[in-house]
Amino acid sequence: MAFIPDTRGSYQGAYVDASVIDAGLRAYMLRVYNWMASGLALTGLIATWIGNTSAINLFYHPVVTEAGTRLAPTGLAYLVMFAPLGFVMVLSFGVQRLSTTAAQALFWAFCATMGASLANIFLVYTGASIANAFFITAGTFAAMSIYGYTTKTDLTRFGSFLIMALFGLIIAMVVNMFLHSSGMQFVISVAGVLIFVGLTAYDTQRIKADFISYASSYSPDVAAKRGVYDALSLYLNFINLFMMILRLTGNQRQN
Amino acid sequence: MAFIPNTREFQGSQSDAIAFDAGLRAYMLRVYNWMASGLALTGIVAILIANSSAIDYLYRPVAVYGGTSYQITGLGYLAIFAPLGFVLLLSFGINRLSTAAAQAVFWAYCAVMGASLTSIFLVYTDTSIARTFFITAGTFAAMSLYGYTTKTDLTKMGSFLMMAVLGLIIAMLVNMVVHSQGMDLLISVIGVLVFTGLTAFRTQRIRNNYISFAASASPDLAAKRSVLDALGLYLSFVNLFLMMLRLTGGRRG
Repeated sequence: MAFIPDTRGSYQGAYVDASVIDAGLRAYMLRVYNWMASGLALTGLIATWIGNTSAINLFYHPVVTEAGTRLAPTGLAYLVMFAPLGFVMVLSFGVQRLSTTAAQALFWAFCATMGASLANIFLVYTGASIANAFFITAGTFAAMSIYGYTTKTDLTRFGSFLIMALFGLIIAMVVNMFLHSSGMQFVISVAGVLIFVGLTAYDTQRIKADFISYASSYSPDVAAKRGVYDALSLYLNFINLFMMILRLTGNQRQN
Repeated sequence: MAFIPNTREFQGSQSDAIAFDAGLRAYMLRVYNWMASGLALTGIVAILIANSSAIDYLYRPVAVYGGTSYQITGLGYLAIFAPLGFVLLLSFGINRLSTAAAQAVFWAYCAVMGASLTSIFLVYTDTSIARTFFITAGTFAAMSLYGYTTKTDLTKMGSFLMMAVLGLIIAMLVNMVVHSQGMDLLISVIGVLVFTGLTAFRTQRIRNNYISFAASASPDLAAKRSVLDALGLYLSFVNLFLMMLRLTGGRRG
C-alpha cells in the first residue's frame, strides 16, 4: 500500500486507499468495541450471579464487631481482587510471545475474575441503583468515545494532563483513607468521573491514531492481538467510570 | 548541530556527541533540582502548618464513635483540590505561559500540596514520617538512576504500569466499600511496586524526550519543559511516599 504510515489523522494517499483504510479502521474499532462489550457482559453476569446467590459466602463472611456487622473478605476474595492485576501483567509482558488465542483467553479470564471481585458491590448497593449507575456509565462512555473518535482536536496534551490529574487523585484518595471525610469522598468521586470521562475520549483517539500509523505493517494476527489490548484499556476506563458514578448515585442497602 | 532529532541513539560526530551529553546532563540536573526544591517547599509548608495552630483552619477535629475524626473546612478542600487546578493551568497553558510564570505556578502547586499533605501529621508520628521520607528518597534515587542508565526500553513496562494504576484505583474503590485492612496492606504493597516502576519509566521517558526535542527547542522552551518534567517526577515521589507511609508509618497513640 502506498500511504505514509507516520501521519496522524490526516491521511495523504490516493482516494481508493483512503476508502480502504477507512473500512479497515471501522472494522478494527468495531472489533475493539465488541471485545470490550463482551468482556463487560461477562463481568456483569458473573458479578450478578455471585452477588445474588449463596456463592457470595465463598468470598465474604460476616463478622460481628462492636460497631455492627461487617463483612470480612476470605482468602478467595483476596485472590480474585488481585488476580486481575496478574492477568494484566502477563498480557503486557507476554505480548510478543503470546499467541492471539492465548491473549484472548487471558482477556476472558481477566473479565471473569473482575466480575468475582466486583460482586461485593451487591452487598452494599441496591440492585436497582447498580443498574441505574451502569446505564448512566454506558451512555456517558459511548458519547465520550464517539467524541474521541470523531473530533479533529488533538487530545494528546489533554491525555498527559489527565494522567497527572489521575496521580493527584490517587494522592487525594490515600489522604482521605486517613481522614475518612465523606465530603472529600464526594469531591473525589466527582473529580474521578471527570478524569475517566476525559480518558475515555483520549484513549479512543489514541487507538484510532495508532491504527492509522501502524496498520500497514500489521499482519491480521497482530491486529487481532492489538485489538484485545485496546479493548482492555477501554474496559478499565469503563469500570473505573462505573465505580465513580456508583459512589455518587448509588443507594446503600438498608440492613 | 548536525544530529538527527528523531533517533534515540545519537549518530553525530564525536565532538557533537560530547556537547550533546553535556546538554543532557545539564537538563536532567535541572529537572532534579526543580523536583527536589519543590519537595523541600512542600515539606516545609506541611511541617509549618502541622506544628502551628494554622492546621485548625484546614481540619477541625470532631468526636465520632470509636475515636476522633477530622472534618475538612472549606479552606481544607481548597488546599486539597487547588493542586488539580494548577496542573490544569500548567498542562494547557504551557505554550502561552512565560517561563517565569510556569515556574511560579510550579511553586504555588508545591506550596498548596504541602498544605494538603499536612493531614498526615495528624495521623502518623513525626519520626515515622521522617523515616519514610528517607526510605522513599533512597528508593526513588535508585530507580531514577536505573531508568536513566538502563539500555532496556521501558515503554512497554510503562503501558503496563498505567493499566496497573487503573486496576489499583478499582481495588481502592472496592475497598472503600469493604474496609478490609488486609486489602489495605496489599494495595499499599502493590502501590509501592507500581510507583517504583513508574519512577524508572518516567526518568527514561524524560531522557528520550530530551534526545528528540533538544535540537529544535529554544533554551526558553527547554526551561519550561523541565518544569513539567519535574512535576511528573514530583507526583511519582509523593505517591510513592504516601504508599510507603501507609506500610511503615507508626500511628499516633
